[in-house]
Amino acid sequence: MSYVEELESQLDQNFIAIRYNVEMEGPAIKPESDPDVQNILPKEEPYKSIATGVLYGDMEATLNGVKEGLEEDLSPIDIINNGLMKGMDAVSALYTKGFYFLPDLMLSGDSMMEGVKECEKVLGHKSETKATTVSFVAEGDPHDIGKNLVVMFLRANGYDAIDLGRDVPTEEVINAVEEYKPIFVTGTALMTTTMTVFPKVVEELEKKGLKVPALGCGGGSVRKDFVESFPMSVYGVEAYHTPKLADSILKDKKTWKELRKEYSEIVGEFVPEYA
Amino acid sequence: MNLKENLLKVLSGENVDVTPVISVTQIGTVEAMEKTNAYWPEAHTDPEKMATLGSSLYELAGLECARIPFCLTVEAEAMGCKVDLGTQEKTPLVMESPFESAGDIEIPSDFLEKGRIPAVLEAVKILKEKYGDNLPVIVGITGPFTLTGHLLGVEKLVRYMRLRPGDVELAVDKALEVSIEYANALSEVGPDIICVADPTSATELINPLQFKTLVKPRLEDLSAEIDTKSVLHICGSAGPILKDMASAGYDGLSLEEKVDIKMAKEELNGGGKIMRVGGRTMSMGGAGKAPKLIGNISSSQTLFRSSPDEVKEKVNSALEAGVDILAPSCGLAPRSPLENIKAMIQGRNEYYGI
Repeated sequence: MSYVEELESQLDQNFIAIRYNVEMEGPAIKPESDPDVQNILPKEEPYKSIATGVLYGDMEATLNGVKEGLEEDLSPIDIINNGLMKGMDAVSALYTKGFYFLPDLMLSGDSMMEGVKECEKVLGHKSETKATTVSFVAEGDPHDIGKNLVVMFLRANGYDAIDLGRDVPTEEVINAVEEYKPIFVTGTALMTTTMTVFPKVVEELEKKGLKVPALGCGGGSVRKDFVESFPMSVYGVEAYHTPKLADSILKDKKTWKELRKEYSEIVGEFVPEYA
Repeated sequence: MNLKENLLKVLSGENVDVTPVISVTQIGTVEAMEKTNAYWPEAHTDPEKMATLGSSLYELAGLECARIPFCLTVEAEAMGCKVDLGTQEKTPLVMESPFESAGDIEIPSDFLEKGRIPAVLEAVKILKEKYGDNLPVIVGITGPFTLTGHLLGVEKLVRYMRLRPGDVELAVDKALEVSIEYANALSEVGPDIICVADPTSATELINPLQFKTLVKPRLEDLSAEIDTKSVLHICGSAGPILKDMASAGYDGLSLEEKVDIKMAKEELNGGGKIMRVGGRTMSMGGAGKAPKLIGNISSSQTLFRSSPDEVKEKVNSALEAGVDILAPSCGLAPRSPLENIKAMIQGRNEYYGI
């Protein structure tokens, strides 16, 4: 019997003070001990340490793991898919559960993207892309954190994500659709004042006879009812849902109507907005 | 009914017969601009026009307050940020900041004479003179964390929260100094309510624990400096930070439609959380005297896009839920129809049978 166990049995538990924050927050659980995360994280090295590096948003650890893997002659594609991406999946899982917040998401994203760059250096070219997507922030809106996350998730999942930047005039969006023929366009807006751009984009696209399978709209003040009040659009709830939506367009030829109907199934989790 | 007395009574915790309908957030709408001939962007810089547009919804729709300015960039501009004043439908935006890091941030000694601060102070005077004791005048200021976001860039700020927390502390303290100085200058011209809007500290952007440890202390310092009645507005799902918001010393909390007013009331009026420590119970602080809840008719959905009847319905359910002061959940979209603002007041009147 250990010293602690011996002592514990002699103590009246009613008289043990628990520091208030410990009582409030519960015992500290490491991110990697979360059961969902454990299911996602790879078991074998160096993938495990790469994924854990991403999970902690620790760029140095991630890059060290990636370099180690590359020295062992592992395929850069495997490192991206089995290491970096798994780490990011775990981050998304913790974000959904409310354990992680935006700062965590951003730092993990940074680490992952740096890792991807390192892998692409060895590949000698950009890793092969599945399809092209276009992302923009509504005209008049400078808030681009959401859009940056969307682009990051799309790129990480193998899409050639064209980033039009923030405060993008509608015309520029139309031109980009014409030029790149994307399978998916995402538009984000934080402010109530700017989200009115989305129906205009759709209107202009229709005027020019251009079609995209879906225009994903999301961001701070954007609501599902509003997005569904005009055609061609689908309301995006979380940034990390974007690649899943794009995948379903690419593989299953889903239309915007189907995306609206099957959103929860497509992103593979319960989404209260679509319940 | 004296609108000002009615509102101030609610914020002081007294009972009133009729729930006020105001807005603590941006109220400039295109329809009102056309009717009052006070257009953006001039109304951002011209005190006369600012006062006219700021009281336009009182004149045109019966909203029970005047509210200026129409953006959250006044302090940032006075600090030296480049601001694009936008157009009739576009609110001003911070384009560029002169500061690279927290250490660079310097408050100009003549800060209060810079940018549009003199215009706001002048507009308060005009409104006070015109409406005197009947109409409450509300001035919105930028919260310290949001101002830090303007000065350093929000994305950088959010990353620094984990990478360089020391820098963030330093920068937020500088921003707090700005907010306090501005709030003091405002107190001298005497608006009835100062509304501190700190949307960047919403849970969508930072961790509630970071709010508690980094943002809340500054909000407390700021509220202690505000002599008038004070309101704290934070957008988004404020649920996890509600208790911290409530105990930061503000008379009212302005909440978005993502927060359930009924649940929020229950949570706050229950007082602070009780904890068991060493077999004894002790209060963990939290809200002693709960601040009044202001909101939360959706400005992006209901007021912007719904019919007047739907607005009335929402007003009814907000009153049923026990909201203390009716208001839009956030800044009005410039294209919001005047009809819907009128419907807010009508909805309230119908509820009370006035």
